[in-house]
Amino acid sequence: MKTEFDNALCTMGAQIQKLFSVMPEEDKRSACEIRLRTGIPPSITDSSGRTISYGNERLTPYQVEEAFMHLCGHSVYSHTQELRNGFITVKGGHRAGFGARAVYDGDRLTGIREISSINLRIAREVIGCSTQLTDRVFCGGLCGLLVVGVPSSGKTTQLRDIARYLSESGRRVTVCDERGEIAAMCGCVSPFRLGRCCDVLTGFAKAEAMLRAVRCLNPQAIICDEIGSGEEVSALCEAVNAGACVIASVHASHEEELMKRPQCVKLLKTGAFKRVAFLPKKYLYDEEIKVKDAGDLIENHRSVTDRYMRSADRLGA
Amino acid sequence: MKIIGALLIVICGVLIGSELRERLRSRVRILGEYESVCLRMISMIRFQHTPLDRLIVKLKDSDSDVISMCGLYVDEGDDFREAWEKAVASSGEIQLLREEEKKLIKELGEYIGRSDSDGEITMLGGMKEEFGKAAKRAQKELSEKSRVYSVCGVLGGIMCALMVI
Repeated sequence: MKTEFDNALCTMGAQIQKLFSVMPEEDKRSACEIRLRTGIPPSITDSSGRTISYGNERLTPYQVEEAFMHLCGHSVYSHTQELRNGFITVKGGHRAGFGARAVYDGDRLTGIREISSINLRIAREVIGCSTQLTDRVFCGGLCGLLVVGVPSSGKTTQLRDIARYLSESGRRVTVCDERGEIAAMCGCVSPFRLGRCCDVLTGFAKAEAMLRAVRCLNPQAIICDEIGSGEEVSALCEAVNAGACVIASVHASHEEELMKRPQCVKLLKTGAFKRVAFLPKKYLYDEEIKVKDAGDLIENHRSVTDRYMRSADRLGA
Repeated sequence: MKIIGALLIVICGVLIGSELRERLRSRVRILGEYESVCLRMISMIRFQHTPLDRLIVKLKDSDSDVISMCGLYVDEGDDFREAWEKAVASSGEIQLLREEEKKLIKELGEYIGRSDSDGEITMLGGMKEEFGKAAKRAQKELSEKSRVYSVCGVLGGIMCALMVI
């Protein structure tokens, strides 16, 4: 049976697949990333952060370039906007980032060339991984939830499973999938289980997607990844005013770091999020997730800020 | 018997002339079809940025062997470039074309998909023009040579028939 690793590897073409033919099955299960770099044998990064190389054959620039073309589906033009952001999302929801040379037209980044490295992050669906969160947060009814975690802690996997849970329980869900990672729609079909009540907006900027969802799709819940810009906060307020709950994620390692970021504080002050969940660094689905009340976080932040201001005044006086 | 044999020889001559005329006509049709395919690709890329694998599957109803076979292979799961090479290698219609025309078809499969949408549209626009020029040349050849082939076919048949008689 093909694993998610095999499906991800397929997207890089037959040449690269052959280079990983010596890879043991247990390595495939623990692999988080596939890394290709010119002049170095291909490798993977596993769940503990270890890098493991396979074979002695050093990758040539041509092989890396061909892998890039395969990842783009031989259609670089259909990924231009994503490439400007430095990555593309391929079939299966896997995200490929590129080390390359920038191409500018004046001061506008128009593309990339001389691909020297590729990092393919393997997307995994874990059905039921959000049970802990959904049981604790939605037991009193649907409400806004902010999922906080560091990169690779499983925020997107959680959001995907939350979308599935809510949709299968009959709630109208709209997934605002700017980077195509949550639902990974490919030719109108998602490889993930999203339930029977889920609409997906792929590729739209999050603010635009939220406004469209509210105007046309009548969602009860809106799900989006990595929210934070000013425009997104305004769109969020409009979505909440229209009666939708927003479930989103944001980067931070812990509460203190979250509250140090002005855009995160602004997000919480909108009142859109009732609960905030802090994922452990490498969430393994049986650990306890810390869930806090957003109101408490704001209150703590306010008292800390007031104390700081009083000290500053005293020092000034 | 000699008369029947002579008649058969004349008919063969006519058929050979028709066959040569038909090949010229097919060449015009094939090159015209590629010109039209380039135009359809430009339209799909310009307005929808349709990825190549979906684009070629949408074109599999084309009159061109290579395009329709490539579409079928991609639909079955083949990579676009491999599918194109397979389709070119197994196509019968390619044999009716000149070397420079075969080269154009191979280049179309090789260069498409490597640039942004503006680049693709420019490249396809150039290819469309080349196919258009080739189709015009083939059309000119057809109008100049089709009658010659028919007449030569008939006359050749009659001469052979006379020699037999």
